[in-house]
Formats: sequence, structure tokens, C-alpha cells
Amino acid sequence: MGIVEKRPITMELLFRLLLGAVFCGAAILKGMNPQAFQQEILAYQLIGYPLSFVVAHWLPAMEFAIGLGLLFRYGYRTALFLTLGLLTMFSIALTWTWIQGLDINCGCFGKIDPVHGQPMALLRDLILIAIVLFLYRRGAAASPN
Amino acid sequence: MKSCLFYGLFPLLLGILSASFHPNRALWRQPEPVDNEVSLNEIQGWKESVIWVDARSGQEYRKDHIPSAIELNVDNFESNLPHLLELWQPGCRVVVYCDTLQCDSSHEMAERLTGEVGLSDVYVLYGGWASWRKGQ
Repeated sequence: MGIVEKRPITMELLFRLLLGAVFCGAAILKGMNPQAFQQEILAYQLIGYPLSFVVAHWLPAMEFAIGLGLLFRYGYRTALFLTLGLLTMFSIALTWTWIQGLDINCGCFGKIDPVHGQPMALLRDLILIAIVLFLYRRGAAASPN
Repeated sequence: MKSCLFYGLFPLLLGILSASFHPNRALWRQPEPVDNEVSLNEIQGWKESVIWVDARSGQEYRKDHIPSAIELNVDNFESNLPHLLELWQPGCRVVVYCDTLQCDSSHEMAERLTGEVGLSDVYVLYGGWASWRKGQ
């Protein structure tokens, strides 16, 4: 009985750490070269120059904050909510470029992103969204913030 | 409330620091064309024949390239240069391109074609392959 009760907690911990590490890693890789990340953003053809400058600097910082929040369970519900928001936004942007027939890299992990093409990047986003929803159902209800 | 401050202020401050001091910070506005850079619109208005030179990696060239472009980069310069010279005729223009505004390989290749090979009328496509894709 005790083992059965412990398993979801372990799964939650693993998924939370995984998601936190993914966001911190993505933030660091993009934050290392904002200029290259700006080119990835511009390739989406959704925003132009002044706004892409803001996004190229703000988004990695935001992802880093979310990653830290998930790793250390700080502002947990807010972190999960923001994660869901960002992943949904990424998925919409990827779908749009796919529909437009644009051959672009996701840019999610800078230049070393192992995933190429929109279908695989979308699949990755959907898996991460499923993890966020799982974490929200498991742990966020009991979290104070 | 504290968490809202954390997720609001921390990324903002980090972003401002990055935008102010990062050695590879993003560009606020699109840089103006320099020296021998020409836009796709200008090229389309030329009456002279154009030879396209793709200075990106072989892998990127094989994936897709401007129709009739010659693959010429640092790895295959010696072997592919004769192909370019076969096509070149006095009066025609050579336009080199690489990935985006930030890549340097097109400028390096244009300098080699001008300095080492002695070709004239060698230009660089402003915005590179990305601008071609955008124009299609």
C-alpha cells in the first residue's frame, strides 16, 4: 500500500525535475547567443526587428526563471501556468510555420537542437504539455502558490 | 504575490542585463546594407546575367538552394571554382549568399573571388538565404 502511494510522488518529482532542467537548459543555450536566437525568431516571420530584440533577450530569462521555479518548487502553480502558456504559444507558432511551408528550425535549444522540422518539435511540445498537465493534477492543487 | 514578483521582475532584470551587456546581444533594428551588399529586389532589377554562389555548408546546399546556384565554400573552393569560371563571362555579375544577415561566409567568399581569383562585379546577397526564402 505504501509503495503504491509513493509511486505518483516519485513520478511527479522526476517530471518536475525533467521539466525544470529542460527549461533551464533551453534558456542557457539560447541566452548564450541572443543574436543567433533573434535570427531563429525572425525566420518564423511572425515579428520584426524591434520586437524580436525584446523576445531574444526576455524569453531565455523567462524560461530560466520558470526552470528555477520548477526545480525548487517556488511559485509552483504560477510556474506551471507560465510553462503551459509558453508551450502553447510555441506550438501555435510552429503550427503556423508548418502551414506556411516554412523550412525552419525550432530554435528551442539554440543551434544544437537535435530536433529538426516542425512535426517533431510539435510532438516534443505536446509531450511537455502533457507533463505540465500531469504535474498540475498531481501536485499544484496542494501547493500554496 | 512573491512568486508573481519573481516571475515578473527576475526575467525582466535578467533580460535588461543581457540586452545591455551581452557580447552577442541581438540587434534592435535591421542593419543597413554595407559595401557590396545588394538586396533581392535590386538583383531582380538587373539586366546583366547573374551567377549565384552558395557559400553555406554542403549539407545546407543539398537540402535546398537558389536554382542554378554553385556550391562554393571553404571546403570545396579548389574543386568547385573551375565550374564557376566556366560559367563566368565578362559583364556578368556574381552574387554570393550564406544563411542570414549575421553570417560572414558570403563576405569571405566574395573577398576571395575578388582578391584571389580577380573577378569583378562580385556582390553579397543582403539577408542571405533567409531573404531569398522570404521573397519566394
